[in-house]
Amino acid sequence: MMAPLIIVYKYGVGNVYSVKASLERAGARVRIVESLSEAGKADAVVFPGVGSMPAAMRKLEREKDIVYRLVEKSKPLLGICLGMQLLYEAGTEHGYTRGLGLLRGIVERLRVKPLPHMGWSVVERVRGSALLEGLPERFYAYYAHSYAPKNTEAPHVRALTREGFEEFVAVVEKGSVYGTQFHPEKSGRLGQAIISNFVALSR
Amino acid sequence: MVAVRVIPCLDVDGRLVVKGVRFRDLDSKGDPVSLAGRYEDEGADELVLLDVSATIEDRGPIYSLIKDVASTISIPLTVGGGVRSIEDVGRLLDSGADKVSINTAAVRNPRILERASLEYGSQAVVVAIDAKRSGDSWEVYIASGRVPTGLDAVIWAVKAVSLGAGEVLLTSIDRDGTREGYDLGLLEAVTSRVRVPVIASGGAGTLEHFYQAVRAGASAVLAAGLFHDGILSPFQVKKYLARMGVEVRP
Repeated sequence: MMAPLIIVYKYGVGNVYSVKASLERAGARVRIVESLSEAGKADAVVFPGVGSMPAAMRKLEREKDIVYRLVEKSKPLLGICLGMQLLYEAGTEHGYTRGLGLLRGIVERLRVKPLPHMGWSVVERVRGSALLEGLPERFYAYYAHSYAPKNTEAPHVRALTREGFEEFVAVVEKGSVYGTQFHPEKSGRLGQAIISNFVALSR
Repeated sequence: MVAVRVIPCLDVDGRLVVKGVRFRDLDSKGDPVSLAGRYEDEGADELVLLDVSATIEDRGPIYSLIKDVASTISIPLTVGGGVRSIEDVGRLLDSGADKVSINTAAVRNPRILERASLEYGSQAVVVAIDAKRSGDSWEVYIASGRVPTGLDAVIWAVKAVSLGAGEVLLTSIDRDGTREGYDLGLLEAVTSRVRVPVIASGGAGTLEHFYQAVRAGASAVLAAGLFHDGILSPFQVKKYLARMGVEVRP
């Protein structure tokens, strides 16, 4: 079987190298791109977790329609960290930013201290999920963020994380749209299993 | 609760992992890429890779080595040594580092912490502080522990965090490589004054030492020689910490 071609959309500054390495370990061919114009030719698209929501949306605003067409065609899309937040209706980072609106809800600043919430926290599964196939009901994953959607009751929410008195969305899934608030590419063996599940969904 | 992290440290000279005592008499401990893979398998929560000769040799980081290590592991990677400019920080992040640790350059030009955190976020910026006890306080040393600065370590830590460092990698030069235990006084002095996570470094020799560091406020515990020589593994440290009631990733 031909290895699926996955494009990683680099819309900000920071480490996308680890996502690429992780997708390659899972058997994908990977291209890092700064525009989505060629996205139609890929088997799947990844929005990595780097940068801020306003800056990322400024870049994505011009390519919104391409994203909607990919989703219409059920092309698998994985958003990681900020990449997942962009899938939501809006975010409150540095003011108010409209997101892609593929998922219902608002991305808000966490109240847990200290911020950013950085390190390994427990992810609890709340519904069945193709992305979490084969993973335990509860597992540790690596987070590095200050914002997250908190509407954990929504049907697209497949796993959540509790920190102190707060709970927020950890894994989402709606049709071919997937997302993790944590970094699977940095979450060891179990994180790699999530990346492998996504690559399998792209075949 | 965020789990306490256990972090093996790879001090590299060229393309070899080295380890000495109090930053001197460096001895070769093997290949960084294979050690990195081994530590992930042994339960490491994160790796720190420090190029200990870059600043002394007045050169930048070895990017190809960072890429080789980053593509082997799937846990967070902090990289330091030889970071001189904001461009170096960007290039390290592009090469697979999740966080960049800045030591000498931050002391010489503290603004680099501010600029790096504005550009890349404070979660990507670590200030590394090498400190040596001097009377009732601790003095900051730079250039791999060779140059005293006259700066007080606690005051410098507070300032570095206020400029944007999201984490403090705090090494006791007195304890480095001695296996006599972390400098708990230094650790408590810094953790009680800053709100960001502090990584305890220098002196780990027994399981109890790791627990003492957590009790002194460390969010992460780092060791090098102890792991390189196979005396303890990250798994053993985590099992012990869990038994003592500390939250760790199993």
